Amino acid sequence: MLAEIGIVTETLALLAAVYAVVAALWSVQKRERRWLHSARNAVAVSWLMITAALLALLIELINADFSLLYVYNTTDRASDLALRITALWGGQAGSLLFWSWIMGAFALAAVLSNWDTDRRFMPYVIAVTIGTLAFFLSLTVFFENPFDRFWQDPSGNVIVSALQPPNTWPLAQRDGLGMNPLLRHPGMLIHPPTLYLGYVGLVIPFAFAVAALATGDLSPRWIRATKTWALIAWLFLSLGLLLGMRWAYDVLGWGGYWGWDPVENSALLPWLTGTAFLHSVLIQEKRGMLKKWNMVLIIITYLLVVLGTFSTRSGIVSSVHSFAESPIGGPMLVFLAVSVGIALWLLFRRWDSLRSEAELDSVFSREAFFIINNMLFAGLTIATFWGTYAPIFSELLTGEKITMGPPYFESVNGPLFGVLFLLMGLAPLLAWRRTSTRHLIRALAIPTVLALALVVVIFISGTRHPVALLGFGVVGFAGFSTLAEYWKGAVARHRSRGEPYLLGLLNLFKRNRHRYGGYLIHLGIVIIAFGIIGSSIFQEETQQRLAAGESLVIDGYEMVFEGLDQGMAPDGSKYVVQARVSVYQNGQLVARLNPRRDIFINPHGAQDLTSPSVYSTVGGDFYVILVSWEEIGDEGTTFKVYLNPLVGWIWWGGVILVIGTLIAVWPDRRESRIRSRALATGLAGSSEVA
Amino acid sequence: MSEEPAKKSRIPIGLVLLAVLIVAVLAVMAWRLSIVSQGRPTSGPAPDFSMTVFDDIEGMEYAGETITLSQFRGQIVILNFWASWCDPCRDEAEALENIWRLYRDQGLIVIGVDHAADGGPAAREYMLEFGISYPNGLDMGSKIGDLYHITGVPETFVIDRDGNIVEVFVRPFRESEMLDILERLGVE
Amino acid sequence: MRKTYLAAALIALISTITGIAVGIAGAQDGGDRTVTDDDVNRVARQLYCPICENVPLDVCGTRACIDARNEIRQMLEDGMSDEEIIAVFVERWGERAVATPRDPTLSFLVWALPLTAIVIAVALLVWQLYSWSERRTRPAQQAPAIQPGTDDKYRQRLEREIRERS
Repeated sequence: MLAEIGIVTETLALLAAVYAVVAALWSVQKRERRWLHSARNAVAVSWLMITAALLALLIELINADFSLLYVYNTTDRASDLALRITALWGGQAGSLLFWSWIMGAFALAAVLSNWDTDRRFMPYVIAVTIGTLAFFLSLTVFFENPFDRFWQDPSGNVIVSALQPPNTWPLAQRDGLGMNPLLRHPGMLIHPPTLYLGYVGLVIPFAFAVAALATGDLSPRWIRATKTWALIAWLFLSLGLLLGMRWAYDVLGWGGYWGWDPVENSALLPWLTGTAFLHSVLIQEKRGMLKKWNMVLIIITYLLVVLGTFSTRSGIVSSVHSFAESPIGGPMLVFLAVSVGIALWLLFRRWDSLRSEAELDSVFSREAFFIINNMLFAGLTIATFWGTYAPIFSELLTGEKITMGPPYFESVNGPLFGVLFLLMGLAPLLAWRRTSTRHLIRALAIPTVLALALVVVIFISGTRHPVALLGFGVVGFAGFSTLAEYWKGAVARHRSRGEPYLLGLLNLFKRNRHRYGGYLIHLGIVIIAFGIIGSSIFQEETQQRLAAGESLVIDGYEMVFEGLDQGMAPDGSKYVVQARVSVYQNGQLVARLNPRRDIFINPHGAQDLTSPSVYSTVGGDFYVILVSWEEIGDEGTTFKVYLNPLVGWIWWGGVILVIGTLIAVWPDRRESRIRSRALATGLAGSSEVA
Repeated sequence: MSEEPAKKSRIPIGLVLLAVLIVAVLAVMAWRLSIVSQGRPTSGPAPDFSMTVFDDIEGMEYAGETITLSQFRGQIVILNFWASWCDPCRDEAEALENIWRLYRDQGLIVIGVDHAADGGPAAREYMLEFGISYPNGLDMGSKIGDLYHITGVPETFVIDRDGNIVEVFVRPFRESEMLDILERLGVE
Repeated sequence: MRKTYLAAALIALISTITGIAVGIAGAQDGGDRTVTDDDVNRVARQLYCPICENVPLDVCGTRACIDARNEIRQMLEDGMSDEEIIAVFVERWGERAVATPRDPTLSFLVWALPLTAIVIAVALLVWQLYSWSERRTRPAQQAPAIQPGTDDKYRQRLEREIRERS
């Protein structure tokens, strides 16, 4: 019954979405408001229908109804409630439906919140967002239906189909395959949804950009309407990347968090262009420059979002994370070509009207440095894109398969990121239009001296690695320069209003959320960069086989293997083998760790998961894992130990980044007052028309 | 904005370049997609390849020589992809050796392709364990596997005397199944 | 003391550039020695097997990879250098066995594009910034010369030509 509800509602959702697109465009053709109203209502109906379908699937998962192929593939009887909910996006079909649901929610919210202020854009915003939604819905209805069921015909053949084929009866499997143990991690519970929120959120600015091109209203209106959307999308994308890194670190057990895998890269690519976009729109707002570039940037971002989704789901790149091969590749590619084609054609038509309103006054101006910043992000995007897809090009051109591993990305992206941090430190010191050399030198002095001092301290403490010293210096410069901005602001408020420094600092955030929230994001990124430099350059590892009572030594740490515990988990879902190890630093016991190996057993066989155990300090992580392919026993167990300096800084930097973004997007009372005033006049205008 | 109306008709080179680039990328993706979605050949002429037979296995036919598939035109070919770490392959190895010894006089040849990632001492142990004497070689760079679009091991292709594929097993075959097919092809 | 620092810095520099210096140094003490897991992993880390794509060989748990690591151990015990071992696997598995291709043509293909892109981008940027500041200075000098409201293009041109000749 639930499956039927699901099939009917997802089909209705698709129909409503298609209708919304047609009605929205028809309203332009006919110049009639009521068609637009009808389109808006259809968007709401479509989203409600997807919600119903999603709920139906969720209940089927929770009930473990193994007459559904999707439920069979992603859960088993042993799974607990959280795992069954996670299964909603644990497979191809479900995640497509879930993607559609988020797309629908974002589209509806964007339409409703900008309904009165940007009415002219609405037909096109609906057409783009709901067009995208309709496409993804059609994939779930026609190609990857989460409500496909098992049927049996008289000769015993099992058929998988959404609708009952003639002369068959339903078949329910006894138990499911269960989710891949690698995906059974809290990070997995929220990583895909946050990433989808980021992806989908970026579609909104794209839709407004297309609307601006289509209507010919090329003022920064489309940017103002979507700046918050872009920032929220960016937040989710950043969060999704960080959670993915954390998941890899905690679960995959190779001591790292980022492997430059194609799937990881395809999430990073829109993040790079999205970050560039967040910076370059500022220039258009402030100076009326870079209009063409912003259009190009948001179109490319959209392209990368859909391309990333395409390449991870069609099996065209080989990756650890990719979904099983699926028939949706062809349709997705066609959709991609059509949507980007339309956007580029619109851009072509308006190209000449997008001329810059101002010109660069000086190379030593904030806008000039933002332009360089954008060039660097473009460079990073191209380099990462090439690294991700070069194996395909190589196979096409030479017939040879190749791997593009970390050495490529590190040596190309590393220096580019380095220069980017230099700019991050410089740009806030520069004024718009032009900055006098004297002012610049004065502003540069403190951060430069502090950064040099930092390098000297690191050098004295024993670090001799030139790349690391350079990296720490540049990143430190960016950090100090940002801190100096806060300090300057607080001092200025103290002098002019007599506010205590701390209050002054708080008021800075109140007065200009975007700016000082943005600086907080910079600080978060700086801290993340410290973590990345530390953990990638100074990682140490050793692998040794120990009997109970023996120990291994690595860089000042001694790890003693005390013994093994093993047995069935209380809930009977898995067999657990757990080692007891003690970690000593300079002869002092600092941690007792339990690296373990879980063996999940279900009727279809056993699946294995090795979980590392970590002792974290500010200075770094002691990360130990059982080597699962070697024999494990009291008389001999192989351990692999990684020392990851500063790796914890990545997660803490991530927290600061999130706080900074939240401050930047938090609704400003003053701004909303202006907005509501504009709204009132806008309404008055529309009532005149009516 | 209205400073330079004369420029209006100029073709935006940057934009055109971008469009060309995007079209190129999408075309490459489409090509790749067509390769990925191409399944293994199940009928028609078997793709030709050459392979160097292991030279350090006692009693192996064609040891050390480079053989090509087309040189066996006129014979029935059983092309078997295996790897030393693949358990089901072990059951097949024995059956294949039996079939080869029984029917080699009637124009049948078994070719074993040691699938990628293998080829070390483990592979040699494997062949010695089953006393394999039909020609076996290493699939250098997985080129042969790619040609036949195999997705794992074992996979077995039966090729008739005209060089056409007549049967494909994407799983371990049973000896009786194989004998039925061979009978159909005129071997008994 | 200073000498050791210098040597350490030099080694660090070389290893960042080539990434294999350690391997060669490790192999040079040769002879019949005990090979540790760390030695095996040092080589395996640089290899990618065709079965587990994009997973370095040192952290891959499939049977194929375990066999390959055992083979590496054997090769190290036989006194082969890291480079020789890697070469064996590149021959067997193809160019995809290493993190970036070693074949000169492929290597060129892979590295040339990003490098050219960077060079072109820098050139474009410099040119763009230059032309912007150029355009800025020119109208600034001309602005007072052209009287507001002078719509007559011919007169403007005349004036400009007069100025240029003088």
